[in-house]
Amino acid sequence: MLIKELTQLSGASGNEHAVREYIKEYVQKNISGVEISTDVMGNLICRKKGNGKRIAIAAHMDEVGLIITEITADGFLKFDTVGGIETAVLGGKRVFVGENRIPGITSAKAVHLQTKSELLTPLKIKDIAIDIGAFSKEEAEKVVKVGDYAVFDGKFAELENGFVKSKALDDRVGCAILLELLKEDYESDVYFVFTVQEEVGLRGARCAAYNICPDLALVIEGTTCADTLNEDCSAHVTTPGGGAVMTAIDGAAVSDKELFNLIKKLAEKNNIPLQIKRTDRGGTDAGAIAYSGGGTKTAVLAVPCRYIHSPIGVMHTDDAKSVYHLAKALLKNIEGSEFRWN
Amino acid sequence: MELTKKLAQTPAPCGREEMMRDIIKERFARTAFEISTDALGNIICRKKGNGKRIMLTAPMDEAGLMITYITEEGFLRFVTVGKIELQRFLGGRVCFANGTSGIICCESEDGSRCENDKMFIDIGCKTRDEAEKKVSIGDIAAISGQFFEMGECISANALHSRAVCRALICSLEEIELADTNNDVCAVFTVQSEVGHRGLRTAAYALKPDMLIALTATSATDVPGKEANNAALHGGPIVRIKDSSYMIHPYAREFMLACAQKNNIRYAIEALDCGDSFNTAVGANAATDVKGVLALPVRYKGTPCETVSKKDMESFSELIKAMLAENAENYIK
Repeated sequence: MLIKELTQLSGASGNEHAVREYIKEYVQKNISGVEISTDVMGNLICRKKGNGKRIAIAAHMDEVGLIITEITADGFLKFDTVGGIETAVLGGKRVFVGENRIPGITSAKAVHLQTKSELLTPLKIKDIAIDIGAFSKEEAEKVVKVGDYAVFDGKFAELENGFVKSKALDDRVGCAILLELLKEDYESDVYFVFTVQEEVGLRGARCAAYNICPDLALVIEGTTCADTLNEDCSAHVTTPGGGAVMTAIDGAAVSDKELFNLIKKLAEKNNIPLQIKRTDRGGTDAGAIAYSGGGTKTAVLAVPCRYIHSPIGVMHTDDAKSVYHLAKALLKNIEGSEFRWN
Repeated sequence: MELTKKLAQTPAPCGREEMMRDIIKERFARTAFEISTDALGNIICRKKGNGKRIMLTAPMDEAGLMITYITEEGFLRFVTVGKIELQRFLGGRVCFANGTSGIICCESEDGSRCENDKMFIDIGCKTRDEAEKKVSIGDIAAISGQFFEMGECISANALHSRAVCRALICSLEEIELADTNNDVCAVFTVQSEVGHRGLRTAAYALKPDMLIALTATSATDVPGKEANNAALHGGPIVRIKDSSYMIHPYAREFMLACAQKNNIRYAIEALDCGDSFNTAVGANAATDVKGVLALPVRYKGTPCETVSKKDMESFSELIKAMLAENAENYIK
């Protein structure tokens, strides 16, 4: 799986072209029989034409990031967040700014200088700036402009026991799984949809679903864990290394009950570890796809990713494999199954 | 009354409405209506006509509790699906699709901190293994309330959706289809409790000329509430506005004319607060001509939602009148 390659690309919401181009080129070079198109929003659609039902399988290309809003007289970059990032994690982080990936550091006041009340309150965006090593606005403007995006410099590395760390696991791991699934042949007419702007409100998927009008949709995601330093297991949302995650209901969508049960059965039959997400919080592209147009039956499969929406995340490679195998089992078996299409 | 009772006692938690769906579909199986179910599970009862397409909707679902964790001792942790004030349901009974029952409990004895993480369900199991035979993570339970008559009223759980469904069912059953050239689409919708999501997709698919959403409204004629027009026994309520919606003049004229022509007593309400009905329908750009007709319900959001028998009848009468009235005369 191309997790390393994909996570290292810059692609904050609205600026996904590097990811799109990479995926497009990879498919053109390595996978035959794929119709490739890009829609107005920038969603990349790779269709593996089949004679059966129309199935959409989606993963989003974008990641949370920053956008430059102002360059100060002394050459610092003010910014806003793109997508949901807790500002408390934003101090002292390495970022890449703009198309030329100019390295920068998110500044924060040294602990020695903070007042008591500053120490007690979480960092606010207005108190942070990106330092790219410029003495003045003029100098900074030679390499950066207002409106440029920045992404975290979260290098990929393998940790112990099959864990890996990287930025943008949410949802490049989904993109990597889709690329593997694209290599297979299916009876169904399968649309592999690499969506844009998920992190800012599921915007790409909404339009893609409206245009494709699938009979069924499967969303592949990275999802939260909340298992660190928390002895109360009932508060853990998912378990890394515990297998693929399936969502029953989250803030954005209700999964189709029959599809949910079918995936459960397939996991059992094929000995693929599966866990059900233990919260209703969060949302995925399924929220847009399920309720677009006249409605679509959807399900969500996800890889547990610790520290999601922060500069760096941790996931277990086995979980990505489980999601891949389970999604493949569904795509290969649904045509012959008792699943009730509409 | 039997039908109301049956509907009130059928669990239909948001997103898992299949039991309710089966009952309603069965009810229309041998009628002149074309029955279909869409991708999300909405039931569409259609009588094609040459006139304007008029769509009436009633929500099938109620808020539910999704199981998120099973403790070693066999207790269930959960989150709410849809809006529920848990404090009002302490000690109440829940039921799962497979018939398993449980009780809603809180860690604090006085029920003062009814947040999700302090709440649990007891299903009478001693261990996790035992509980897992009956319930799985991701299962959604419904709250089951007692159904009873008191005076001129009926009280039960989730009447804000069930009494409305009952009214629409009865109206469809009683109407002479030949009476109208309206193209009638009656839709029993899913996922209303999480933002009218079923209504949204059904409205898009059917693209009606006029959409009348049937719903319930909080009756204010009880001690401690500032009374507005929403009172029990005063008849159905034409909603003129809420925070996201303003009635369309065609829909307003149509609804009021139907009531007046048939001498059906009604009231009018204009709310500051509201519901996301209009935003949901607007999101898929289905139709502009929209109206809301509401049944007054006391103690909405408690296990004993209370409606007036008389209101239920006049609510049905008005629905019938709307089905029969030629909508072409109102949509210019």
